[in-house]
Amino acid sequence: MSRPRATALLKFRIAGTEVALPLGVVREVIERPRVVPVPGSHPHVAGVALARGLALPVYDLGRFERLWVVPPTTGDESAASLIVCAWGEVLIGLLGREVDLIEAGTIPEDSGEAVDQSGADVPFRSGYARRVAPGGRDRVMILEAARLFASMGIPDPRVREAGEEDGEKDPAGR
Amino acid sequence: MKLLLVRAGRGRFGVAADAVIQILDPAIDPDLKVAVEQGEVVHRGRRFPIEDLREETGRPSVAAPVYVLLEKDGRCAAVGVDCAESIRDVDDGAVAPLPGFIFALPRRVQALVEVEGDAVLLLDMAAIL
Repeated sequence: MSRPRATALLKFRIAGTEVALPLGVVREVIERPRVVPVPGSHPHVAGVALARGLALPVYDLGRFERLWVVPPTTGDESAASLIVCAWGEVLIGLLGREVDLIEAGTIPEDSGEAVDQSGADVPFRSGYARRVAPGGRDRVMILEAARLFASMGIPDPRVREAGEEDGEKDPAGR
Repeated sequence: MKLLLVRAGRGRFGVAADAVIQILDPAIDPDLKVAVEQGEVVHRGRRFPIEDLREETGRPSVAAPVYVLLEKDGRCAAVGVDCAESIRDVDDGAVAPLPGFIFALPRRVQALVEVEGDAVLLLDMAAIL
């Protein structure tokens, strides 16, 4: 049986699709800084940005092909916001637009009645997102941060083992 | 540290100035011979493997490159760039290392550094030389 937990969600749009992340993953949302493209980086890395003395890797999920059933034709290069996430000891930035905070009340932590796994009308591949109806409102797709970040090659001790078992150590698929 | 700032394709890069021997333009320097097939330039009988930064920035340049000749610890390279801009002294504390997990290919840059309000990629000399 799934365990309910109270959470708030940060809703935003990537490549025209509305998604959400648990607020606990999000460190801050800032105006998109200057992003410097890095030669030799993964295609879904938009570049790096200087943020508080750190080189913050900036990701364009619209260019992360493994996330999508049908990858978008363009990325989110013109996104206005940067959603800074703390993942383990690592900070990363996700490009997004139309960022908004929604109160989610309680949602099932695992699969349950309120959760639909990816279906035919869901643009993401199975396992990358789940749909919930927070507080009886319109449904929103929550990105599964652990699966997503592991697939993108972002290190985290809790998910590294699972990622290696899934053969996801190299996000380039080599 | 002192950095030579260069432009290559869409990028602006910093090169550790203590490794720079010369900046040469093949169009005006008769002593510099470019052997593209061999992937090297020859300057006064010495061979320098070419590392064309312009090809790594996602925008092919149409103009012929200028070469920054580098040498450190007995190793050398010729880095192809669009132009060399200036030399700037940068505080070591302003250098922000890049995380290794963002790279899909062997890295050629190692850090991001703020120079006069602009963010510049610092070349990884150990990887290039």
